[in-house]
Amino acid sequence: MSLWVDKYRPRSLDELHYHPELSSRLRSLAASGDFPHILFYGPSGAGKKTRIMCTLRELYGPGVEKLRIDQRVFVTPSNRKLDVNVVQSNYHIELTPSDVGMYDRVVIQDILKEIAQTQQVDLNAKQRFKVVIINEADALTRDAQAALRRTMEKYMNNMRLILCANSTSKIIAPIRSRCLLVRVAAPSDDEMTKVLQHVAKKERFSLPSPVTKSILSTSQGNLRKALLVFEAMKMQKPDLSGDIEVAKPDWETYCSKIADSIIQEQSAQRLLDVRGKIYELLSHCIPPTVVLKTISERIVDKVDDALKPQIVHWAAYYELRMRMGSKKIFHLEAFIAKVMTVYKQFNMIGYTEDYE
Amino acid sequence: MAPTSKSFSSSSSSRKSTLTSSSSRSTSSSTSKSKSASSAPTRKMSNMSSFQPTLNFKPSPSPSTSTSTSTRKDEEDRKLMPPPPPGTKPKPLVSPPKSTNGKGKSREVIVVDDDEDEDQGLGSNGLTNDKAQMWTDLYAPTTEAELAPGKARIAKVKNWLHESLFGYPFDVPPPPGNVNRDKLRKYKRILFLSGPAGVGKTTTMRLLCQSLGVEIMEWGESVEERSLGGGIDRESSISKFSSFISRHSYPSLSMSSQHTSSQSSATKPRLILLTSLPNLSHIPTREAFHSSLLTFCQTFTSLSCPMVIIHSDAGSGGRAEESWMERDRGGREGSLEVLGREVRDGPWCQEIDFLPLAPTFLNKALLRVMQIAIPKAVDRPSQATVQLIALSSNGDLRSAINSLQLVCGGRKDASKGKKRKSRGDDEEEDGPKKRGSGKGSRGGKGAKLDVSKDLRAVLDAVTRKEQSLNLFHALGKVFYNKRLDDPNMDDEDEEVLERIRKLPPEKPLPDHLQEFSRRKSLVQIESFIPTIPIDASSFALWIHQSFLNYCNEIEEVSAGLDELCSADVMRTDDDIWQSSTQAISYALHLTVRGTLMSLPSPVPRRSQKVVKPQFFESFRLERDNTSALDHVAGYITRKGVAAGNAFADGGPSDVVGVWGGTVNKRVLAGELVPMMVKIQGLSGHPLLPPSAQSLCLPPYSTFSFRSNTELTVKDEPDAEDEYEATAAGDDGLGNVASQSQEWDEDMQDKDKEEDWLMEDDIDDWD
Repeated sequence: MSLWVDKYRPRSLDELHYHPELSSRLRSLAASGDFPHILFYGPSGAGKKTRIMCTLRELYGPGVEKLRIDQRVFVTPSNRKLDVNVVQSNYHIELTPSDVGMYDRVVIQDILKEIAQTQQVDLNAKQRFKVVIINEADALTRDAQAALRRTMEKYMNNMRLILCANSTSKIIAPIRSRCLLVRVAAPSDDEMTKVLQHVAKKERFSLPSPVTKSILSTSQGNLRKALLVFEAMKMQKPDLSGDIEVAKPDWETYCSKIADSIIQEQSAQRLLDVRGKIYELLSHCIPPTVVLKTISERIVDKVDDALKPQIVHWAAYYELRMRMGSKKIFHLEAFIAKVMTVYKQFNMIGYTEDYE
Repeated sequence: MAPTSKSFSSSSSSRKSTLTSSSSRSTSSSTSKSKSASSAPTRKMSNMSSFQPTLNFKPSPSPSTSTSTSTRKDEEDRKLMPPPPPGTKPKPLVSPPKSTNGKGKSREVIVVDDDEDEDQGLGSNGLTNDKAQMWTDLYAPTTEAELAPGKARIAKVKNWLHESLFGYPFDVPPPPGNVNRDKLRKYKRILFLSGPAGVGKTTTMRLLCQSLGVEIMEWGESVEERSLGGGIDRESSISKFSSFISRHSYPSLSMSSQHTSSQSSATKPRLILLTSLPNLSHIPTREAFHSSLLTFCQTFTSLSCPMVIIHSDAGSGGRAEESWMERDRGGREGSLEVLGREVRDGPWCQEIDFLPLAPTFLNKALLRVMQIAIPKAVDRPSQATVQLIALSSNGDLRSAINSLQLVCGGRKDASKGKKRKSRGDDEEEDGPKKRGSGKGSRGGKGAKLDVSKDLRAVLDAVTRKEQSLNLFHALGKVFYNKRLDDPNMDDEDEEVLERIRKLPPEKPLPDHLQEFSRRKSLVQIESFIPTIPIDASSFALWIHQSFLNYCNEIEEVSAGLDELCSADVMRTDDDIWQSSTQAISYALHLTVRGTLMSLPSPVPRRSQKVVKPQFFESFRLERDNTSALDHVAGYITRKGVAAGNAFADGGPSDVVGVWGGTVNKRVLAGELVPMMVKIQGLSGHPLLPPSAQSLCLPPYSTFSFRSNTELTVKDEPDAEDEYEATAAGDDGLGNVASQSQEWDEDMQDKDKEEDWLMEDDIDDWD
């Protein structure tokens, strides 16, 4: 059994449900024989990787789907061994160099050089070049990006890069200018509905519109999440009728409960309870920035309009400090304590002082 | 037998001490100050990593040949050595046994760490006596009863030795037959003794070996080979080590035992003793070391001998402002780093941890040494002096004895003139003499001793150690936030109060800053900060964990947390490129001062407890879960790739997920795994590997997260936790190794269960 997300993932550009102009542009690029380096960017769950794989299939045919996993060992100048897992076919290779943290430059240099210096072996291959997919390109260090920039020019003959990122803001300008930027926007509600209905049709049931609505409101333009939630809901209640609880990830429920308890009571003891929960979230690998964001969103939903800007202000303030500091818990807790203080004072005197 | 084997290790170390004595003399005036127990291991490690001396272990040949070989070898060495600095006599190679007692132990101190070299140099500069012998060497314990560590610990070590050598516990009559003996011996392969320097690990070991009649095979290191340049054997230290182990795990061949004329050395049990370890911060060396230990454990025959590893870890005293980076370099290894995971968690290994000695134990040992060393009771320093030395040595017996020797030596020199008088002072000048320095009025028991000011000054100069408060007291000082004119000030130290009262009054703050006005704090920051027993960031964690309980209002909590945040942001030492010790010290000040500022005054007393930070536990869990997540990522990718391939091969298209490729970790943790757990639970179809179990959040409850261990006065901060804190500040690279391990497992599993991945598939990219 596989998830609907995987099962109904489009495999060619024709099957894609939305952004038709983008699909046709990609198709003509693949046909032109003058394929550029491409930087795909857009929010999570918008379909970047799906489009990348479809493009590859357009370029090379179904052979590109014959994959294998390979483990490469790289040695840093300080003699540290790095293991990087790559997924590759005969025509492309996919890697996530940011996995190795600050040593990503070594990985980038080594692997690109290796690929760039070997010619395409398969004589029947449609293209003379191979494709390197670099995931999480916005998480690459500056060094790695600089290394990338050099190789991009040098090895244009044998290799094309496809970068995948959430935003272009962390990618250095030289790379941005050497790539064709392709923005994959999050699907609109209509487009999401279309996809959900397509899946429902394939699974042979009908999708009631209240369910669609609740799925859309939780998933906020993230199609992957929408499909996961959809599948879980279908499992919960196969006829999808009446009131169904939206199947959210547990940590989201956690965060909103934390937000509730912050609003309920503002005391040191309550903060201690909340601390336990935050530790629980952090120890389950939920990124602290996501925790902070989710909690503050929930709180903003629930407080008086006069307080909203303050909450957002402090969320931003502590998120910045969290990025600079090293002990995330301090900053998360300081944020919560600050929110409690602000909320308490607001309730006591009915208004709030101007912040900062 | 045992003494001869030691002579080899000493030949290298005595050379070492000859070398260092020249440098130590030039600095001899400052030696006494710089001698702190905690700095010694750090220095040692940095030495090792900077030039990484070639390790050299001397095989111990059979006794009859040993003397000649050793002399010859040493002759050679001496030719290669630079001439000794004038004034220092080269030490005799095998010191003539002065007494049967002394000879067995005379060298142990030298081998253990570099700390002694300085002392040795100091001694040979004629500060004390003609023999230039340290009391630690001369008057080492000779019977088990005289050993300083606790009885239970010694018995444990003894039992282990006995079991590993003879196959049955010490106090049990030998079982009949040989078969079941090996059964027990097989799992008693490595004993790992750890503990701070100078608590008697090595001494205990050697004494017990002597009493059990065990021959010790020791591996030591030599410094010179490297600096002498080419022509010298270039075998890498670690390969030497593994050959050393393989050579010595078995009794000598009959060939060599022919030479041992009368003695039946073949029947004498042997034991491998490791006191100096290879440079474990070098990763290949560490890996090789671990693997040779593992081989050692796994290859057992009834003839092979056990191994004892003695590792002195750094104490926790006086390290408040040390940065994490320094500690990385400074030999922060726990048993895991030294032994490797397989060995440590395997059945072969036992760890016995020695604790710092309690002052009473130290006192006893010091008195014993003094009684032997100074026959006349009149010449001995007063009881109080000994007690003070014992208290100020932070549980390090060796340094306590060294201090004692220095004090007594000084006394002898001065004895011509004013010894009488000063001794008179000791007894007469009574009354509470408090030290002006940062000793805690509550925590440091030293404050209560009746010792004259003069003597204290002498002792300060001689035995100056960084006094550190117990963690509990250090935290208490912050949390109770005592200020001048608090209610219930009766039990306060009048002298301190007086001094604080005398401070000039502060100018009153303007109206708009009134919220910041406080009464004078009783915590004297300048003297308090250096006495914090743990590093700045761990201290912040402890503060963070408990200070909420001492607040009344959320506003105070918020203000305090803000200060902790600022300190955390400032403390950039986890950033490799911007490491700055200054920032750490600022951060510590900010932590302490900020907390004091934001706590209410007086602090409410409702029997709050100081608990261990949850951070450590949470961090450990997070690390475990990260590796579980990596495992899941590998699993999903593998499944996706397999499905994709099956599809490409023309498999049924409607059931497979056609996704190959890696998954973003954030997406995995935040979206995929939680939802897959849900769907899996509802459908009953397994989607995730069992290792994902730990990634599920427990149900939300109003109860607290985990029960916390309370900190009491006696607790010492956990060294391992500090290590965790170090790793937490890392950029996550600490996980790289474990991650790849997970993947390795995957690859193996995959080979087993799915045959589509062929060996030759891997390389056909090019």
